[in-house]
Amino acid sequence: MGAAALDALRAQIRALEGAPAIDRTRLPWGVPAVDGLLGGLPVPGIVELSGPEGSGRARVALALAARICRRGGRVAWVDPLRRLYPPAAEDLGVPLDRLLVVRPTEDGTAPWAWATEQLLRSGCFGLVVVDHPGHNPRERAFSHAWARAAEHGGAVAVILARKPLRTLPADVRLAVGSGRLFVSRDRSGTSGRSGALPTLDDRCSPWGSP
Amino acid sequence: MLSVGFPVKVRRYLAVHLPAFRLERCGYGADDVVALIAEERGATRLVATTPGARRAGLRRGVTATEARALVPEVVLIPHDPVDELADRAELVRAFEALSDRVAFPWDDSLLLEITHIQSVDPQVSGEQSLVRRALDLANDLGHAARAAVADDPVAARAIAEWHAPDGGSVVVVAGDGARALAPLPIAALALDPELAAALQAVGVDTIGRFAALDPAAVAGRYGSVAARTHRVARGGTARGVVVERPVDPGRPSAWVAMAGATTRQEIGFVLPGLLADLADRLASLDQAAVRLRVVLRLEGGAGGARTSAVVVRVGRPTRAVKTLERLVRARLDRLEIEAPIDELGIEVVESAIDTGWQPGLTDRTEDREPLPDLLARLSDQLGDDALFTPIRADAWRPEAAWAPARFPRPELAVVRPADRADRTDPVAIQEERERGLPLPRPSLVLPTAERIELVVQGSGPTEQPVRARLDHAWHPVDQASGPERLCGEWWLPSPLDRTYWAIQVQARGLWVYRDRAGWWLHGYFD
Repeated sequence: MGAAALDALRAQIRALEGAPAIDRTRLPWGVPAVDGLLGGLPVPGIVELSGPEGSGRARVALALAARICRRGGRVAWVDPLRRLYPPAAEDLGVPLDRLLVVRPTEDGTAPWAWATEQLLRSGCFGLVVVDHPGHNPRERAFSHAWARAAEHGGAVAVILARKPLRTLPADVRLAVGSGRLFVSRDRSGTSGRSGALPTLDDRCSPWGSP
Repeated sequence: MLSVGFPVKVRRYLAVHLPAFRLERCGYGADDVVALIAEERGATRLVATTPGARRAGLRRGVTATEARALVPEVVLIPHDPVDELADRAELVRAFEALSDRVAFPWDDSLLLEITHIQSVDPQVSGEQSLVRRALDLANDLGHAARAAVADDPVAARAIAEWHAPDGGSVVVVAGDGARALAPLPIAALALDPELAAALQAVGVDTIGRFAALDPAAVAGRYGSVAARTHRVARGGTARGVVVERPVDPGRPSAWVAMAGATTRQEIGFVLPGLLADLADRLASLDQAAVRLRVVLRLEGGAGGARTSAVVVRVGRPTRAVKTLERLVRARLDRLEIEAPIDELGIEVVESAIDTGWQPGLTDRTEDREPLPDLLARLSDQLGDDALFTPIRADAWRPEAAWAPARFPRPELAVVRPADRADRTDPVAIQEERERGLPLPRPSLVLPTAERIELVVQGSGPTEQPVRARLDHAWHPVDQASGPERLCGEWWLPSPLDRTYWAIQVQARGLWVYRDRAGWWLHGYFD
């Protein structure tokens, strides 16, 4: 079933349920090479950015965060692994006073997954980035909750994962590796495309463009 | 002047004027150009200023925009009434060392009743000595102060604010209030602005001229409030009552019998009514809830009755039933009901004066949760330290180059003049230049550095990583940038001495360093 037909079906279901129509727009990432591949991100929506640590996922997410903040929005970074380095985020253009970092003090999946859902649902944050710790048996339950919460709050969720999360109902799946960005899934029809991972700024990588 | 041998029926009051209290409690000094702002009459206005700001030409009531236009370097701090109330209470407690009757009835002045001090406390020799102790106490607590003693609270405060020298005091002999007040401007009586304007329009610009008016004419023309103030201007007292301690509202609470309920639906059914009761009790005290405690009294087993309780934090002080219900329901959704419920109660653990709340332009309507409520819920569930915004910090160790701060930070805070780099200072220019020199920093830094195996080529200053063990396999290092040596904190048992490299392995960017213990993986250029 095509993407347009799926969206139309969803709109019909929402009309029957009496829920307000969702205004799906495409948000430019703000990086020409990424926008050239995707044509923008679906808002609201869920984006998966998978790849090993050091492949460049976080700086791609931070570029989007910088763009959201420049438009006056706020960004939440859910950091159960406690590894976001804020000075680097600021160097990449994210104003720290518009960035909320969430580091649950309790171990386990429930706290950060619940926090992600609340942040998405609230409508207070245009972007919620999650540094996903890895696969979990309850993945399907809370990732579907994220999708509903993102729709309710009109937000974008970007999930950074080491490997693709099969149960995540992502609107866009991007894989990062070998210095390239691969679009493995996009409901708008750009699946299968790839491009060089751009150097967003000299300060984000010591080696310049690959 | 010492006051000696006054009739017992004359009460004596010590007013301690703290001209910059509302900003000093925020960490600023009397000479700083700082103002407190709040929403008033449909605009963001100055509600308090430091003496430094007043000298620069800023006044209470001016809008924030006008203030910035007049004095661009002014620092504007949003007013936090809950925090300020707590600080006032602390100050009152501190001054209870000098008198058992202390109040903080004005924005910037404390009042102590000291009528019986001399006869009760043998160590205190005269009002002058007590005044000196009060000023020393204020200074010890970090506040600039002036003080005055008089027969009436309003007179004492007026003299402290307008006549006493900075850091000094005036003690008015009993019965001499009129002479002490006469030369002061009419504004010293803190009259209603319309009344003050009306008096000034007819040439009454000093308290002496006000006192010279006929009392009956003042009462007839300007009302009873003006008449009471007129009595003070003539040396009388407007209040013959003892200074009372602020009323402790206690802990308003509301309870309902649950008759052995076991499901959340049953709790949900009674919750609106229970919260409406609680809201009525808060309204009668003009208070709003800041923290609630929801208590379930459970049917006991062998050990008797038990209770289960959770604390619910409210983002912004409120007594709106709909907001409180949403927060309590969200909290109760995650609570296990271990036994049938005998009684359900909600107690107000912390409350604040109800200042009302107007949604700002960036706040959503009720179907999207306001940010303060969201943050309160998240803090309740995840812990106080789990939510923060990072701020840069000056530190030798890269992992200490930032610190958590409260989110959101005040949006209208202006960088203080001292924080701006002096563009003509050669040291500042050089420091700014050097900031651009070090290698970039990775976006992910591990909470604890991990051991990594590296093969290096060369030794000493020419040492460079050439192979790295990653994911259980050896790989060549494709690119390496460095070395960057970070050392410092020589005064500590384990001083910092690390040599960093940014290496690229299998198209992945790693941040590694070597110290005396070997090679460590510290972060990823992710």
